[in-house]
Amino acid sequence: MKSIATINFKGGVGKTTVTWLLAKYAAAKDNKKVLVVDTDAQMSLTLAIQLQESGTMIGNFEKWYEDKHIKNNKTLLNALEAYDTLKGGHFDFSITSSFIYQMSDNLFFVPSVVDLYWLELDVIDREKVKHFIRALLGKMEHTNKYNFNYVFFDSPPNFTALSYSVLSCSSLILIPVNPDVFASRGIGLMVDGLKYRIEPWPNPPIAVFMNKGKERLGVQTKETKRYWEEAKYVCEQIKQDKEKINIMAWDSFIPDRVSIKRAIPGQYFPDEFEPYFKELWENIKSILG
Amino acid sequence: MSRLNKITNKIEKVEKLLKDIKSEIEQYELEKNKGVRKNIKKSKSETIPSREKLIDEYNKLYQSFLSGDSKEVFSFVESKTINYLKEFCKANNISIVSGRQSKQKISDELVRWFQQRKAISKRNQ
Repeated sequence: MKSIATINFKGGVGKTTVTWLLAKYAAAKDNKKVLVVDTDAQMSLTLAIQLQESGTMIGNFEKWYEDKHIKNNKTLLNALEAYDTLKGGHFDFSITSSFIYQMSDNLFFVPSVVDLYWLELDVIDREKVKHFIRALLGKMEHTNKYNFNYVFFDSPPNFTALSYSVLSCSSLILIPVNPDVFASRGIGLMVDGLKYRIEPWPNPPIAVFMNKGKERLGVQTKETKRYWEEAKYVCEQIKQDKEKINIMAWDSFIPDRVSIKRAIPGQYFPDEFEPYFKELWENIKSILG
Repeated sequence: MSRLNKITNKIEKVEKLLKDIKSEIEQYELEKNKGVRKNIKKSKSETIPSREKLIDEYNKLYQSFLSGDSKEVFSFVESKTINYLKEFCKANNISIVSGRQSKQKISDELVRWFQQRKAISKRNQ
């Protein structure tokens, strides 16, 4: 089971959409068993799945969320608290269908809860829960019901005990950037932030790619291409650090089109995006196998 | 008769001289035109480096920008022809409004991108 975290401390770069569509692509088009975990207290992915485009609720998910996930104390925060307290000296949290929601044959989901905001206040000791995600994934691997090939984490645009744990054990970190100066600036800031906060830095592969690229008549605009060159330049600078950060700049490009915004609440994978996600997914597999 | 012969001989000499002068003028004009054409041809076939070299040139120009000031960029742009600069911008994805390129605008655009690169690649080491 390989874990992939999507992160950028700059908000609005499209972390949630990319994570979800990648997972959908891997599950639907590559027949992989995939779990997506929403670790963001903003609950963007969780809400997007709840809400359909018309604004009505998807009955099954909402019912499961309220009646099973919340009532049975099977949220991500409950799991984190169980790990933090380690009552009886072990991680007492069973992986059941109240914790993981099944979206389709191959696609599974662990939603977020608004209480994850508490983690921003450092109520939990980061060092103590550093291996929480590793332990949780270990439990999943030992549960015969789920044999996930890949786990995707939609990470928040801030640094919490949970993101600390996710990033400490990820097989790959994905950083989407946009064609603007702020997103490109974010690469260096984030890599510096991660390597100084996560000790020892496990040096997972980090892949940067262009998301929300602007097009004109079906071709990337010069400005998008120029910003991508700048992002690649930043990656090259980071590579030259003495810490030997394993960062790659992938030429995979996801265009900014209206249909992608409808893709999460819609129950389908948008066909016009298939070649773009195929390329991104192939890159991921070439690194993770 | 001998006097008439002398005059005829003189006319023949003047005619020959005029012929030589005319021939020299024609030769001179021919060479002059050839030279102009050669120069025109030379300016049309200005050698523009490959895309990779133009990208390298951009990066070297950025290094000069980093170590000094933007004057280096302006003098680079001034020393190149518009055709060269068009290819340079194309290779480096620098957007310039077609048909309205001026060296000043190109310099400004390059400096803007270099300033951004400097800001983007600033690290908290």
